[in-house]
Amino acid sequence: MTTFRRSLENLFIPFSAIVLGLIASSIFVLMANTNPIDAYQRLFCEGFGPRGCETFGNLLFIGVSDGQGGTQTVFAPTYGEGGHRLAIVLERATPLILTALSATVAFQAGMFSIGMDGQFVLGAIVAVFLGYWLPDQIYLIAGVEGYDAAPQAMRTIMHLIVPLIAMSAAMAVGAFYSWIAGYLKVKLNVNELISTIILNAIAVQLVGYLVNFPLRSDFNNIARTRRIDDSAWLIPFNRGIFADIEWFSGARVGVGLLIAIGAAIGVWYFLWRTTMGYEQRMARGSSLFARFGGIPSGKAALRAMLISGALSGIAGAIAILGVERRVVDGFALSGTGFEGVLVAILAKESVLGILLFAPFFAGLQQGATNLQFGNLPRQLGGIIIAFIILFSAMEQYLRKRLADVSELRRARQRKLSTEVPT
Amino acid sequence: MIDNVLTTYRQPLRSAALIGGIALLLLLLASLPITLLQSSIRLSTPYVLGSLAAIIASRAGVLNLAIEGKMLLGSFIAVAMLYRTGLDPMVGVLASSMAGALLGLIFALLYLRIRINLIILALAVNLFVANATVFFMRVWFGAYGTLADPSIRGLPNIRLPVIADIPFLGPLLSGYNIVVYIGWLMVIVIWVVLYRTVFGRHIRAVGENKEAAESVGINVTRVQVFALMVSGALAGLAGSFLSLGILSQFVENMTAGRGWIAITVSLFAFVRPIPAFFTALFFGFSEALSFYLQSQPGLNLPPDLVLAFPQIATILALIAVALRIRGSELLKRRNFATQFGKELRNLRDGVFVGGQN
Repeated sequence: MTTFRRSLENLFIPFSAIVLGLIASSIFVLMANTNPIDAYQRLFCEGFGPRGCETFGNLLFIGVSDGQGGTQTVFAPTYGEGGHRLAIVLERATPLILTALSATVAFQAGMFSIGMDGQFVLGAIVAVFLGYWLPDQIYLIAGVEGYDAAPQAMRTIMHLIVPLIAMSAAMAVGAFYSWIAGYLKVKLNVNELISTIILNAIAVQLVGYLVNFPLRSDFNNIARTRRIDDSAWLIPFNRGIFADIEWFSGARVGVGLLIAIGAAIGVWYFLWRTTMGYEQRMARGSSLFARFGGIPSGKAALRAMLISGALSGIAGAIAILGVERRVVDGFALSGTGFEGVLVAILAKESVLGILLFAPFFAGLQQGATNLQFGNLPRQLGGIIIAFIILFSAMEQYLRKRLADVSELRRARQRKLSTEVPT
Repeated sequence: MIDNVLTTYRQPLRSAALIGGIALLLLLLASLPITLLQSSIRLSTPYVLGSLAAIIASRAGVLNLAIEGKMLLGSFIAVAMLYRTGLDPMVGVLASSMAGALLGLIFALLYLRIRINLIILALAVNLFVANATVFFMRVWFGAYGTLADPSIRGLPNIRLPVIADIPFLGPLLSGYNIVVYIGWLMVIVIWVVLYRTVFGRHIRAVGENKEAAESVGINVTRVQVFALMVSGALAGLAGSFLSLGILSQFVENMTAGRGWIAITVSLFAFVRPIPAFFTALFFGFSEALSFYLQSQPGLNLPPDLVLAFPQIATILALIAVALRIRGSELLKRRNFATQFGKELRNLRDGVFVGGQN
């Protein structure tokens, strides 16, 4: 009973934070002379609804024409005519899940690293480079013209090897970049929050330079790199196994999502079911305590930073190999890494929470981006998220308040029951 | 060997290094173009004010990581106030420091009353301001990306009457806008407040040990609220310099991490106002240098890499601070060990330092 109540409570708190966040943000919607309910309907339909969604109800049930002039009501989340927006949400959520996991691993070891952005963009640039350079070398050695001229067997092998190498390299680079901040923290006690923010800025400038100069491919107005070779492409579901399922059309979600879910399970198992994970979580509480317990807290923290960097790096690789296929100038400013930090904070660093919150976050951002309603800019999404974070961070205060109230009520009841006999 | 030399001649060596360093620096500076020096001093203003904001908050025991957000709010409010109103730019400066103080008050309430985790609160505030400024820029002014209008006048440059005529120093010290001078004044004001007033002593006491300060009757909450408000006002001023001091316009996310660099400046200066001023000058110099090198036609340096100069300087500064702290800790430990050894020897020899039992 108590566990049931607790899990209900755990669900109730983020849910109420979301509702309160939406209510608080509606003030801003009103300031823009727009009706909040209409705006939110539009926001959520654009974020999570099927095609033709117009009201909150349409998120669950939607009437569609049955081909004979009448309409029939269908269950909306599975209605995929013309592609469902949830599929795009999954596409956007894939790197978010990974960067949020990355943040969680670091936070759980007591490292408040928010270097996910830098590791993400470095992973992306490494992946895009290997994504076209490596196949080129292979074709050169094999004496083949290119992907189209390659025999089927060679293609199959390359489809397995090239993405794997690119992702591993991205992981290594991300891990190294994160290790810098970790090393500075553990050996020299440099505040990791500040160092990672500065390192992020450096990585963004570096990637901007690489895209504009050495890796620039053509004289397109906006600088961009070459597109990765087809053999490096993590083929999305709508081109591959689920080609004939309409629900996925228009969304570039693919193997990356499976990798992200696999990583989530791996991180959960590592943190809560292995000795190393335990050491890491102990390193957070008190490094002195951990040391007395025989745990090398510095080593555990460094290990956490390496894992965290690798997760962010692979997130960048998947964003490139699975979705973008090239790095365009400005990609480095997308802030996916930082959004991952926000998801991790919202999810209170629980893996299950990340799997639920990352799609929510992605949907909210998508809805806000496509929000062409009144004159509401897409920054409404950021405002809503900031409020949700604030309200969910008030949890302890609210819990205490609730406890105070129930304590008061109990005391009053006790008083009443003692008064009754007399 | 070297260790012995270092410990015996520590004081003279130190002064020699200091004087030599300053002389070298002056020589180096004198050989640089004067425009570069002027723009370094100008560009150091956000760092001066921002690091003072960080200092007053951390002296009161609150790590203020929301300086970036407060700065950005300040730059937006300054331009928003002047947009098509034709008001004096000083109104914008005042409004932005008031907006910063207000945000500081809200921050203080959320942190001290509701007890939100400080880092999460700061991240949320920064996120909120970054989005809300762009939101209102579009909703109120219909502007995309940049908010500019001919009606927005920038801050005029002030020529200081006597100082401007001094041969080499004149052009370096005179000819900046008012916020630059407010920044210089604030360094002194904050120093005086922190070290020469009772209230400053209270602030430092709260930062050192909250419980102890409370036990001697200092109102900790009031001190922290005040410090956060002053911190917000200073950060808002820094923001108003960014938008009114250089180009008289507001650009989306125009602080671009300067708030974080300002926090590093305060750390590098060990949370002391006067060293912070000089550190800020150094950061202003590195920023001015990156612009200067970009504008040199012969060099042809890639802009992205040159723009990373201040950030790279920041990382190096962080490492330098950490090494210094570690060095002083090692020294402390060694001094303790020698002291302890002396006491042990005294005990063995039957000499008692303390009382007579």
